[in-house]
Amino acid sequence: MPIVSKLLSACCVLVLVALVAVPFIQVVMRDLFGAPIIGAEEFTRFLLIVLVFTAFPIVVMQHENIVMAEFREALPARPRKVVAFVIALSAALAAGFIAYVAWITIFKNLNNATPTLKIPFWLFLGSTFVGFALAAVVHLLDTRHPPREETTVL
Amino acid sequence: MGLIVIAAFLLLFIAGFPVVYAILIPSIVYVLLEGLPYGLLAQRVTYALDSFPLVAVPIFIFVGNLMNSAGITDRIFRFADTLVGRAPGGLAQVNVFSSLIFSGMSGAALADVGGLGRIEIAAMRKRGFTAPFAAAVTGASAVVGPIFPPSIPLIVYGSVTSVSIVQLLIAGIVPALVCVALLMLTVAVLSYRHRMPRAERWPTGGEVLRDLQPALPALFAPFLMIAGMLAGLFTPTEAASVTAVYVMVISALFYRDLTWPHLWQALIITVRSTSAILIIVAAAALFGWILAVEQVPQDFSRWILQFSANPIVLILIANFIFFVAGMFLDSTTATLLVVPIIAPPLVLAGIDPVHLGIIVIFNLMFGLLTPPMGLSLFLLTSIAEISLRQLLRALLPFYLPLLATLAVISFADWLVLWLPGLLR
Repeated sequence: MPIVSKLLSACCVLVLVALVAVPFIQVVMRDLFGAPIIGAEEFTRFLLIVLVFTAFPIVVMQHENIVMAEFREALPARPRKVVAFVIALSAALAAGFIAYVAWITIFKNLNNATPTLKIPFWLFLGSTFVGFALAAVVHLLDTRHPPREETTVL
Repeated sequence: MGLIVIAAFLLLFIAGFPVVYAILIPSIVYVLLEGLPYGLLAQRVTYALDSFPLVAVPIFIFVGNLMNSAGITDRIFRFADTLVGRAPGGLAQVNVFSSLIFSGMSGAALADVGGLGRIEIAAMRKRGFTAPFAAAVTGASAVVGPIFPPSIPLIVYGSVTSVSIVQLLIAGIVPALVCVALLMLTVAVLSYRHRMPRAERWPTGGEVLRDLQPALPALFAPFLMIAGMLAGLFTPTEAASVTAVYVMVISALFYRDLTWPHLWQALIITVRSTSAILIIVAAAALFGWILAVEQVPQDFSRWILQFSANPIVLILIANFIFFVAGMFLDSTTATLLVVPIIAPPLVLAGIDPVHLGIIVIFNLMFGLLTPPMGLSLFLLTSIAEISLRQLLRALLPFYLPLLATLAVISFADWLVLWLPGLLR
């Protein structure tokens, strides 16, 4: 898992760097050289989608999902363990289901693409599939040792 | 059915499910029960993020993290210390003033608490302030950040309601300054009553210049961004990007404090924060669609307008709803789930959506300082190493200026809309 996490982190950092760079380059090209990049906005939106979904398994691995855990934390040890198990299992099922429907939708949209840059839709949906599928695996692993708490990284 | 979906969300949320699943699970069950096409789930969730304004969110988070990693926060604090350290309340005033400057570059209250707050609390304790008081000032002043441009919550609000994000950001300037003035006044009053330490004398012109020089490039960032947006040179997202590049350049070339490990740390924290926040935006799009199909906003509009169509009464109701929402939900969730239901009747009754945006976000930021879901409270207790009870007691006097600011924002719409009015 640490290798997967490191690999995903490296990919996401590259996407983030591009996300910061593209609008800046667009400003420079448009305002200084009068030559705006066609499709820059479309490409940036694509990068945002890829970033959010691809980074989601890392968030799950680090237990950094936003959560209100006060009620759960107030429970005695045994029921708290049960609730944590139920949450991990339900999360695995929900994430797995979203990954499954994303996979199906990919094959129904193989010929669709964005209007300007012609980025295939399966790339967008592919990041949703990868993100939720890996998240489902992490949640499944969590059912063996449910996390004691979530720590929000903001 | 719409109400059952809402109730299921609340139940899962209270039970401790991560927000994203508390939203997704009832939505999936709804789609299955109603026999809707599954493809809808993947498409709604994926394309909810197909929004250019939302691109500004990770970039502003990155700016905040970069400032904290590269030591810019230190310089802002040092300059503010020299400038207002002699004012009654000393470092407590510096704390409020630095938050305003910091918020001009980062768009998140928690980045302020977690970055600048650490430095402020440590410095205040060293100068003899109590830890609960230092934490209370830090928490109260961090509320200013998300209403002063740039603001991540206002960007999310704008993307949900299709209100101009530039107008929203500009509308936050005057309320933020009012809030800072009231907080500084409160600190002054408390410092007289409790004889708090302050600098021995006012700074000389030379001293101000000495500390202004290293802070100046950092202080220029908010001007660059606001002026660029006002002049129509760039959109809020482009402004975020220009600010990020500018902060990287000054950190690397001017301050020479930006190392590769600093940069990597800022990037990796940004990646995780961005996904944790925006995955909720993605899930909430599905939830919002279900509420729209079930006509929940329309039903709510009819229900609320039967009580009164008077804008003042409706603003009071909105304040109550968002204040309570802010107590239980984090700001992104509340904006995404509550705004689409509450906003339509208010706008229908004549309340300006830009004005409403500032009311909503200020209420939700107030929620960061109220139990049970006060994220700032938890962060502050951990940084200052104090109990929640100690922090809440120290925070009590600061609720007053925050409530006064909320009253000004709510009922002096001309003040909020004055600057955006110049743009219209």
